[in-house]
Amino acid sequence: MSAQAQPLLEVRDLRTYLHLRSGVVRAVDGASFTIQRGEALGLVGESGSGKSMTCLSIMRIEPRPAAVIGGGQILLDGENLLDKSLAEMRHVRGGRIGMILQDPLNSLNPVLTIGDQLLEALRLSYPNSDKADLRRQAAEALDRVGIPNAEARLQSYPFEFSGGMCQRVAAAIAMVRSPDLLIADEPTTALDVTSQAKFLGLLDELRRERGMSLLLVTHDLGIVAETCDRVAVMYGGRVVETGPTREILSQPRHPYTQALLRAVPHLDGPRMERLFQIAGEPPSIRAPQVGCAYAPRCDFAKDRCRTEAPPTLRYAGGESVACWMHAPECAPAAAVPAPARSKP
Amino acid sequence: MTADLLEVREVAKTFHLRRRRRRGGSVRAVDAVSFSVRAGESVGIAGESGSGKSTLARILLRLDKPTSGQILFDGTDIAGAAGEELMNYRRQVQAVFQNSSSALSPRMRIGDIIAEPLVVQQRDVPDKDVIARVEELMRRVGLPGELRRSYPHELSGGQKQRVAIARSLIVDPRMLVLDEPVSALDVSVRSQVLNLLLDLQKERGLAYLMIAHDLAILRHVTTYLVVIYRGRIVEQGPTEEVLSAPRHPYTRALVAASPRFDRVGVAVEGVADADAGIETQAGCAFAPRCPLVIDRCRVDTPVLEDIGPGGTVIHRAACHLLARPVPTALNEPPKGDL
Repeated sequence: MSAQAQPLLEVRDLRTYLHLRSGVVRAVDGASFTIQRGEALGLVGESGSGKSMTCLSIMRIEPRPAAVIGGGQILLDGENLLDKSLAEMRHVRGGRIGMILQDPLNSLNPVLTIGDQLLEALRLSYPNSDKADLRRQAAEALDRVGIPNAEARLQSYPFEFSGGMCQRVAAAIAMVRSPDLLIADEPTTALDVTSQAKFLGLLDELRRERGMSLLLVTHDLGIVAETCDRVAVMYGGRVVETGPTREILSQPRHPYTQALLRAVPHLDGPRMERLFQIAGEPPSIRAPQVGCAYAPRCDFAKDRCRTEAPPTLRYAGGESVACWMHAPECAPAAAVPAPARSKP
Repeated sequence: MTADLLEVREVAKTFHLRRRRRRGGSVRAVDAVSFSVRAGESVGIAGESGSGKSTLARILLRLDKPTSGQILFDGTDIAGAAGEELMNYRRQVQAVFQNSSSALSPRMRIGDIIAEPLVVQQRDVPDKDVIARVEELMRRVGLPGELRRSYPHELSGGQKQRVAIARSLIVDPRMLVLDEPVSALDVSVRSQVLNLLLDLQKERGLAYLMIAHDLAILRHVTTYLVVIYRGRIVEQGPTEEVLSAPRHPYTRALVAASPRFDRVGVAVEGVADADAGIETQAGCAFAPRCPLVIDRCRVDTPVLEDIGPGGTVIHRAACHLLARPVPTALNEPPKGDL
């Protein structure tokens, strides 16, 4: 069907539901996206949109037993990770897919030196190497993420590093086995802007140097603009729009993406008197979804949006959008312009 | 000429460290900070974590006493105020904090949370009037009236922040200290709360002192900006001017590091990472990270100097290199050992 090479990762119609005492939460409810080899994809969404649960599902570390992956496929090089045993998954995690979490102080073990934590990861790759050799490799890994005096810093504990430095250590650990894909879930949310800029620069460098793919989860479209080739926007557990970063930021098709871009203040350009306001709150994902999840907040919503889930429409430039407004039978004769004010 | 509502003069706060096996050092969390806020004006305070901006907020709310300096409110120094005088000050200056989940008591109903400052300040207000005011404010900040009997955990993040705003307004303050009021909110809710804050300011002539790390939000809300680094003001001036033509290397680094939409695919070079030490050293505090550092910076602490045309609105920066031409962009990779 597609002329493109097989993507490194393809998530197809993923459904991860949380079975809680209070009911079923449809955290991920039919999410689909792909990541090509060497590509950086930004997964953007607000809290509760399902972006983190998607990442956990890819790593198969969704919070069991509450979380159940009830449908879909997660294809890594064409192999469905959902068919793998937990023992097999152990080689995928860390080996083929690395992960960096939001708060490095929580993801690093506070009572082990960072050297020990790096060695733990290295030993999995090189079980037969001697310790001195592994230590040398650990020091190299630290040096590569820009930690000065790496050899000596192997003895340090996480608390001796600043937040930005801890996140570099987490990156070093995630990269030590040269994964094909690095998942970074809000890696800079806990960092200051200057550390954030440097860390994103580092991720970009490492990715290019090793031809690795990156799945960067964030709520900040500015971060995506600077580091990602493509963007997938999530809302209510589904991917509502994907496409090359430039197109998404300049010509968003989905009303939610359009609203998001107009709702944030900018550092340059004319100062806006008022920010665009999206009415209401992000959706409750408890109720089974009828129609489009964004419909209750959408300025363009019509009856159909409330009753029937929109199809995902694909475009020649690699963009896709899940919105009735763009469906051929609904669109006006001319192509739908980005922020259409009048109802088609 | 509008009189200053709040004038902060040379305020400093020193914390003494008591650590085992180490001599007791001290940290100047806030050092010689001076600025003023006029009635109805919005002043922003920008800085990264550890810059002392939250300590400054605590001092201005008089949750902490400054070690030295004056805080003039309506001409009266409240730096050492207590009792009745402090109570009076707190009626006029209220606060909204970042994390409304922890700022709101989990065991109180929303109506009681909003009413509390009024009940504390004026014990003799009849219940009927209190309820009427709570309901009026809830309507104003966009909270459905039936939430009056709910508990905080039943509310969304945006709603909780609206409760915090309503609560701060019930005593009719003249100034709000907003400490990262929207950074915990989702983008789509953030714009609602920012719009609400701006509308309330216009309606009530409130002065805002807004602390934030997000420069774009400060640009949107404030007209005057104070940039602090390690407890000292490095630059202060009209927000638009400071952000469009920053003069201090730290301000430039902050501006350059802020994510933007128009810079697709450009990874930014930042300044050197912050070092972990917190103890005060000689010279400019930014020197160890500064791409333009010269020898003098390490020995001689720069003082704030007036720059720009002058007049009533001051733009100042504290840097030995102010006389040098401004580099066009900090995006050019700085030379040197970074």
